[in-house]
Amino acid sequence: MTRSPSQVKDIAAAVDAVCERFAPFWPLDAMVATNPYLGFAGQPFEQAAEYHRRIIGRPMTMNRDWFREQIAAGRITDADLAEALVRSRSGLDLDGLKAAIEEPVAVAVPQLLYSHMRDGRYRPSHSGYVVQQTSQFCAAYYDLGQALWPLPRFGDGLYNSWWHYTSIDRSPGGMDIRNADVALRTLPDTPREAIRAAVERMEVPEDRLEDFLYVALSTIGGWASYTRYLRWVAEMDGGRNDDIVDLLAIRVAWEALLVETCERPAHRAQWLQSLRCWPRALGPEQGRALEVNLVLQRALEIGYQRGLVAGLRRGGEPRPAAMTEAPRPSAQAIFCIDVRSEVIRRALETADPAIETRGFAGFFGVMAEYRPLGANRSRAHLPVLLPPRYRVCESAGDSARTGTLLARRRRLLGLSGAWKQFKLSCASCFSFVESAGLLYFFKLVTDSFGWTRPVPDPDSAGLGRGDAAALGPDLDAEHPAGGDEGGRWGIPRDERADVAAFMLESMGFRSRFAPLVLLAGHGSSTVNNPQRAGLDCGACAGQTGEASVRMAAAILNDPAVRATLAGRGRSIPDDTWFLPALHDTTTDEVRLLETEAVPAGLRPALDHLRHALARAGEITRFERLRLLDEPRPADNAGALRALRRRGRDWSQLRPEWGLAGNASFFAVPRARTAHLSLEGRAFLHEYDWRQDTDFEVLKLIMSAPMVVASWINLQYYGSTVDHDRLGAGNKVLHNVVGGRIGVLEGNGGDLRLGLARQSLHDGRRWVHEPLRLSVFIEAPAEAIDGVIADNRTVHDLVVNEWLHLFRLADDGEVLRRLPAGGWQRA
Amino acid sequence: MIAHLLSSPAALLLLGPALMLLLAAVPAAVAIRHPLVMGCLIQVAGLAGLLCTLALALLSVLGEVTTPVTLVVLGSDSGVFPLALSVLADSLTFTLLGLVSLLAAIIARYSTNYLAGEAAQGIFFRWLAFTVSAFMLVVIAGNLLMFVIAIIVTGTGLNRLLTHYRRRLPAQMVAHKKLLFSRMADAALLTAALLIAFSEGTLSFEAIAATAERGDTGWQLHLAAWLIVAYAILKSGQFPFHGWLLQVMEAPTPVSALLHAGIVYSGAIVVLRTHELLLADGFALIALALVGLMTAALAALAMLTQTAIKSSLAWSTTGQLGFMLLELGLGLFVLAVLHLVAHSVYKAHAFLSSGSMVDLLRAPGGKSGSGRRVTTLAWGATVALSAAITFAMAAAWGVTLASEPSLIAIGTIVAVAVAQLLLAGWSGAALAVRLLLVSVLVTGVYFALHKGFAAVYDGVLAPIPHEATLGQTLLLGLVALVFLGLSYFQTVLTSRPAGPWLRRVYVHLYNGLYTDLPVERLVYRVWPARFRDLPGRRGRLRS
Repeated sequence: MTRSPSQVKDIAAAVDAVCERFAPFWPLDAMVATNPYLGFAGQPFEQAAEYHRRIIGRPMTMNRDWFREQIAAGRITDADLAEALVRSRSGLDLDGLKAAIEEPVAVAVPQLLYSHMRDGRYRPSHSGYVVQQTSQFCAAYYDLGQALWPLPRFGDGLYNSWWHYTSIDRSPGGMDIRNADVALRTLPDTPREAIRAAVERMEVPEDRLEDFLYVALSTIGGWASYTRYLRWVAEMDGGRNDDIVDLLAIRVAWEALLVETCERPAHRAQWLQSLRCWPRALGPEQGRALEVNLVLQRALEIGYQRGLVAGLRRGGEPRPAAMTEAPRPSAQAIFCIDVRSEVIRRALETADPAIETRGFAGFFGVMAEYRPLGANRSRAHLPVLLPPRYRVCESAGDSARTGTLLARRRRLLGLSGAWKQFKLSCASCFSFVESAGLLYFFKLVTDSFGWTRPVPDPDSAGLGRGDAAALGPDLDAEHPAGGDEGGRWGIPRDERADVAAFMLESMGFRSRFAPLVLLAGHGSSTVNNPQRAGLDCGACAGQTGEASVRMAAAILNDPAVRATLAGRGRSIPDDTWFLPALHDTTTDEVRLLETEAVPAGLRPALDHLRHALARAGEITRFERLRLLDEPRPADNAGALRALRRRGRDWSQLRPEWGLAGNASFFAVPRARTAHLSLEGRAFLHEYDWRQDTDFEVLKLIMSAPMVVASWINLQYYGSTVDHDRLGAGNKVLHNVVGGRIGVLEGNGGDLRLGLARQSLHDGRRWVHEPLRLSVFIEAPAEAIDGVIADNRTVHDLVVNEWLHLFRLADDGEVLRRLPAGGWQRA
Repeated sequence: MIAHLLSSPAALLLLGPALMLLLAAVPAAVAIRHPLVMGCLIQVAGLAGLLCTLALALLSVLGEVTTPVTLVVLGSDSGVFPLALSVLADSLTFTLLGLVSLLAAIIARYSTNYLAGEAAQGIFFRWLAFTVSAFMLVVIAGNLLMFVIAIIVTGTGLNRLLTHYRRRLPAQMVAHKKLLFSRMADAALLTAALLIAFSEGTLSFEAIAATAERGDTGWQLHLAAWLIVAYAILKSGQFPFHGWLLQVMEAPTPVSALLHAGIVYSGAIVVLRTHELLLADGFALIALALVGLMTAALAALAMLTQTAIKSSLAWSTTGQLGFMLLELGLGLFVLAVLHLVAHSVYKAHAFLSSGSMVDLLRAPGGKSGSGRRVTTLAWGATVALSAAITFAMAAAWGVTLASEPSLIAIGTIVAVAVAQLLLAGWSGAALAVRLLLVSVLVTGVYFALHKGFAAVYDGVLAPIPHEATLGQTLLLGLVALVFLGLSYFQTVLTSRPAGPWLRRVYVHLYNGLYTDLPVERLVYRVWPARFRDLPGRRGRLRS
């Protein structure tokens, strides 16, 4: 069967459409949250849920038993159900719904792949084998530092290399796949050609092609997401990466190999029949089960929103005039919008009501990559949606000191590299054990008690204790110490005022600067945790916020920058100082940085702030400890000790709860929410539309922080409701693959995405309640509608109901945006 | 019996296993309700076992207790049914029991937070206590039959730990693969025990040693020696029976640590206990050495290709066990004990800290395998330099080819290892000087430990042989060649662009030489019903 040019084009279109459905997955050392449903954002939520259920048999809501528990516990009330029915425009009434909830749920399993059909009951699984071989090959191809003997060059690109590799591989014989190498050699050795040849030979019906390809690639969805990340990064740099097509070709080629080597023609006919006849819509029972679950999901969200809306109404209307005339605060503390900041902000306001807190994305508007001393690659320290504009390197200030530190660090790291070779090489690992193995006797004991770390802290490895403190971002350096790498380094002096203006503008900071303005980034304390970056700052691409806040403070404190800003009518008072700090989200200590540079006149204010932060930490720790499995400490010092111990414990899988529980996003003045406890579930972004004359800031907030918050929210959502596919599985079984790419669960299988079970579940219940994000913005309706109309991403999120949007009106009223458009009193 | 027990300080060694057994007997409901208490008590029991061992070792050093001594607590070592609960108190027992007690405490401590929140944590601790208790009996056993029974019981407990996640198909698969080889091994050892019992009328290790040293060994004893070697090969995951050992990451990390740092040594332990018998046979040891050498080489090469941290660690264990069996086969029993202890603590740490791989690679310059091309000449010069350092250091410690012919092999092994350190020195003089110092230190420590361990086990284990037969000399030469080849392969060949031959080798090694699939099929054939209803039977989509 040959295909006409238009059919060839159809195949290419189907391939491209399928590849775009996978969300990117960042490697472990820059683990940032991504919306696993990114490729479905263009479809309504409910339609995506139907597709997942029908084509790959996966859920997009919690299971029915869990919902029944929520109803029994009163978390979902009749009022929530009734409201959900109205919003869903469902044909059911409340009694009908309640009866339907009790019905048993049947799940049909799609069998769209031949490998699934070939799985016998009494022999190793073919579908499992194919996934295993593909995953293992990808791990070798992309390895970032585990293998001592990296994959030799087999060919050009992923698919072609696989083709050459698999023609040598003898394992298909062990699986009873006879003559696989012969069949393989008849397949083209370029990816798109191979996909075409494979689907033609298998006679995949044209109208089933896209579904078939999607199912095939989802069996190896982890690696598909990794290749999607490679494409994302390449596109960010203005390039192109097609590895995801190669991966699809590999997976489809495996199917073709299995079909070609099939020794039972009837078996193959049966599969084709099942592929052809797979329903194009869910059957009535299944459709109803899905509909009920979607209503229940909505009811769950309505229950959460009900409390928030009531709380917001209670706050009454803010008096805009009074706000600008309020007395100058003793200090302002700006934290990341991360939900963990909400708790400590509330605590800090309690500790000292004269301190004002604000929320802004934790990279503070500095769009830079950062190069630690002695490293040979830079790391992005900004949200992955944005391209980096600057490259900044680490130094000790003066070049002589930097040179000394660099030489020492290189020497020490060189020695430890040689030692590692000695430990792991195939000819030396035996002697290593006999000469140095006994040292691990002591290491086992000291690591067990948390006296030492299993491996040195990557940020201070190869540096003395005092040396690490001397290092910091160097905005002036024109190239990294010891390197001769070209290109533009540092942030040029004449651009700093623009950077500063952008920061202040987007933070909504015009006047009323306090004497001390704290810029608090955040990071976590955890050891032996492959997913550590997931607990650090998402706005800093999975790094801690330290470098970003130090760069931001350096720019804002620069007298030249201030002079330029004053010239533009944006003066910062001379007695205002920006103080960088790092909030440890595990222990809730706030470490003030570069305090020696604070002007003498501000010392009393600094001491006052330090005291207030200490008190706020105590309050926050008590609130956080309730959720952790930790005996109730006797006093404040005990609480701090317990949390510090968790952060140092190599066997601790839940150092903190990260962003679990996240459910809402606020872009409103703090005065609107200050009277509420948002339980560490809210992203808080400071926004006052009265100061945003052209709504540029609103546009920025809705297209960047709100989208990032939704990504995080949907990552937690997906990892919870569809843990087997979108979650990372059990940490106890995690096996780091490719050095720093990702984790496998147990022995092998696909690369695991998302969050581990231990990050969502405490062993008894799901700590994360999967809710789509409820967004509250205070701005005029037209302004918000304008952004929705202009921005495709925002439009999709709102209109397709991947989040819920609310508006706070001037009179304190809360209005809900209807997906189709228009606003309704909530 | 109590009075009898109290009469000998050797009974102290029974405290650890007894406490563990008590903890294993805690009712399940209680254990489930109080998992933290269980974890704490296992730590206490482990520490108690360690302290008792240290106390007895101290008494023995002070001369208050004469060792080696076998204390028969129950039953009899001889007669028609030579089964006894007996304790062999010697320096080897002190070492091993101390090690197992320490590991048990560390693993229990680790599992307390690691498995926190899991409903089955209490049950996990019960089985941990059970397994450790049985394995402690293995290491103190003074009687071969007791050893066999204790190791069978250990295997049962370990099986429960390996299938801690009972609904995971791969976990069940691994446990069954292990069961297959484990039971074959147990049958071999049981047969060996029966043969010895029928021909000698005793199963006390001390008596077997005495018989073997007298030299009157019949065919039964020779056959028993071969069966013991077969046991060691099967239990130590030697090629081609190594598949199960590689896949234990299906069990919680602490279980991997317990297995790789403890239980997997049972083969080596029984060889150490009966080494006089094996020496009397001679050929069985050579077979052991050859299998060990082959496994060490293949596993070390396969380890180079691994891309997942725990797989890499597991291949490393297979290789290290092969190396230990090689040392046993060469009659270097003392070095094998050094290897066992050092590898045990090293591998326990490596597994427990396996989550730190990312931190290691986040540090600047953290990537391994610099990709620098090494010429044959540079390699040769480096190996020559390190050989000079090694043999000089050996001579300084009084180890020469005349006094220990095995230095040909072990000297070469140390030399190629040190060469691996020195190779990094080609990048700069400052680094080279420091690496030279490290190399001198490493070789110094190596030979110091070599001498030290020989002194500690003097009288318990046969000393390092002072002469070699022609066959043994050839074997030693082969070992030296294999290690030079491994070093050349990794340093020179894999740093070049690979030709077709090398690419083939890569594919076969990365696939573990295809030994695993046939075993998996065999398991399906032996236990067809076991896997039918587990989720994941048809890939992830079905779950």
